[in-house]
Amino acid sequence: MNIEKTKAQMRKGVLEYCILSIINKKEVYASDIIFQLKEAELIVVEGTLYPLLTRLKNDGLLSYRWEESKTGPPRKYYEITDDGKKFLEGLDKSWNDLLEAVNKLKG
Amino acid sequence: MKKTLTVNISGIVFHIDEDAYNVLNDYLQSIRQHFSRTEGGDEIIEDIEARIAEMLKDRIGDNRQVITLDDIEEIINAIGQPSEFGEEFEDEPSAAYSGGNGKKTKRLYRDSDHAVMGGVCSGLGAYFHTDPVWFRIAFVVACIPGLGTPLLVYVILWAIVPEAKTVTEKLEMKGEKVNISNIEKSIREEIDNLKNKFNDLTRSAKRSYKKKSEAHSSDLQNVGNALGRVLEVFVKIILVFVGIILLIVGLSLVLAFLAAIFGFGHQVFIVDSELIFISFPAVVDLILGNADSNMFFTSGMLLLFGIPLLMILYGGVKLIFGLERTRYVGIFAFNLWLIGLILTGYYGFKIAKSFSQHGVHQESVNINVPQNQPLILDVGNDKLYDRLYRYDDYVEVDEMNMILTTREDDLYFGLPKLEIKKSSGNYLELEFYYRARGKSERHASERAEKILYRYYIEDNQITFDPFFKLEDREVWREQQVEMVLKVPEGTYLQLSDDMYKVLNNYYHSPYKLSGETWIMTDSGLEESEFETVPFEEIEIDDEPDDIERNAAGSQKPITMITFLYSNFLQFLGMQV
Repeated sequence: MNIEKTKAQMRKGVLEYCILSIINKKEVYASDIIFQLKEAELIVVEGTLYPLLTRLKNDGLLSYRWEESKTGPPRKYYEITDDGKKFLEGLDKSWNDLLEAVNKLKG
Repeated sequence: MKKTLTVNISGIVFHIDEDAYNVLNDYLQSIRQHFSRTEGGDEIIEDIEARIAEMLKDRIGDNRQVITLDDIEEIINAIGQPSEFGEEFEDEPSAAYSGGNGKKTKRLYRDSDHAVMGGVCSGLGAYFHTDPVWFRIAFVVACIPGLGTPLLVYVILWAIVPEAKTVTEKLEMKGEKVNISNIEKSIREEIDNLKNKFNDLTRSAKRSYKKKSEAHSSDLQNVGNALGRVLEVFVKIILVFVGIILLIVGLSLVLAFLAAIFGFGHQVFIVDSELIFISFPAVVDLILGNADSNMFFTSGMLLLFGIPLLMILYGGVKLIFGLERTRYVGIFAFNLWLIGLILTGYYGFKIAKSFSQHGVHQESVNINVPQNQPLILDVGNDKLYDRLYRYDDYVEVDEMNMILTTREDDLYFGLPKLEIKKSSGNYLELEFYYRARGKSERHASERAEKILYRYYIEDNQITFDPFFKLEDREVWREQQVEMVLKVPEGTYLQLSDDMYKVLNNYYHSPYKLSGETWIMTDSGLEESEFETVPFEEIEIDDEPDDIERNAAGSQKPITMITFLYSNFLQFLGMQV
């Protein structure tokens, strides 16, 4: 059993939840999310994030607006939608349930 | 000193070292390939490019101007290889590659990057992991005793072996595992091929994806070893030859068939080793007549015979060009063929039915012959008829008492038959039985009544027309004209030389009867010594037509198409 693989799978499972949680706090752009996720050691490479963001946006959980940047190309600032908020509440609940269940099992 | 390039990433201009540019370009291409089939893939790529631009901007302070290889490598490390992006997203078909079962797909391609001529030898070299020089030497050496045949083999290989254009194909050429990280490896190796456009890549990715799944299904392609592959190439060559033959045969038959149906061809009859051209459409018109049934029957025939021919053609094309199997073509063709069968069957049945009943229309004429004078029987001198005989461009169908000519507008001539019998009474009588067929007896006799036949009675002379015609647009339903001349005993008959054309007698041959004078006795006709009487021949001039046209028509050259077509008909046993 490869421990790294199992760890990666666990991270992957909660990645969408984490991204939504970050965006839920305040409007951010991709590099902010990357910074926070890297800090939390949830992602290894940045490339992982972009397909997820696009998918969440296409599913209507996120929306974005363009903002000019002085130092680089225009940035996409992501914001959570009402659908996204409901989705996140659902995830919050199942996250707590999961924690509780795991703790209980560990005794 | 290093060469730099100017690039535009996400709307920002950068100066970049050439080597760094190559690496970055490879990297972006591998990402494009990775997301080429993902929904919103373009947007993901834009986002990543924006991120790259941002990171590059950060790294270049104010005092640096040029982006180096180190910068690019660091950025690639941060963003990661496409294979690290997370394989298990369900909407990423690329998982099909990377999750692969490790089976090697190896295919023969032409390696145009290392080609001398068509890249066949370099492709073989790549396939066998050998220096292509050996294949080149082998080809050249083999050309000397092989009288250039290997050259032909080379040209055929050139034509049928696809060029390895995409990265996937280049990998397959060498037999490496096709997955994302190998594609990247290959991209890095291949700095020459930087100019592949995004569209090309997506398209080729789709194609190679398809090809790959095909390779799994085909037994031939799964033969992993080199021998099998060589065998496959030879099978392919044979298939291509078969395909070419099918193509030629199919094409000729289709052309011949269309030509015959649509009337730019002629039915060929061979009479006494002479070729007679009779218009097939005119024959069809004669039998079918009525416009719509004609059209439907013809379309039915077209489908019934044309579809198999087209399928032969299609098969040839498929073999030559190695088209992919398409399920629906066969089903579609079969359905069309069925429609053809039904149409032909229905109208065939209808036509058969219109032949089912016999009908007769009867007329009779009394003739008074002055005493001691013979009754003169003659056949009218018809220019048209003479011309037909002279130029031999007709076919006589004996059983049907008819001739078909090469003239489309005057195709049909019926031949009347005259029988001379002893009259039971004391009077001379000429009876006419017009016969025809139809779907009912009434139809048949009505049709029989419409037969156009002319004869002339003047004093003691009867002049018969050598043939009868049908009304315009009338169809042929085995029309017959039978005449019975009832002659009382003791009557002299003087038969002209031409009478054999219409005579039909059980006891004497028509040729013997013609040109002599006969007397009707108790036991039938007997030769008599009666002095022949001079008589006036009637000239029938029903169609002042130019002879030249007809003569030209009889010399129509035989073409390949008509020849093939006649053989084809004989083969099918449907000679009219």
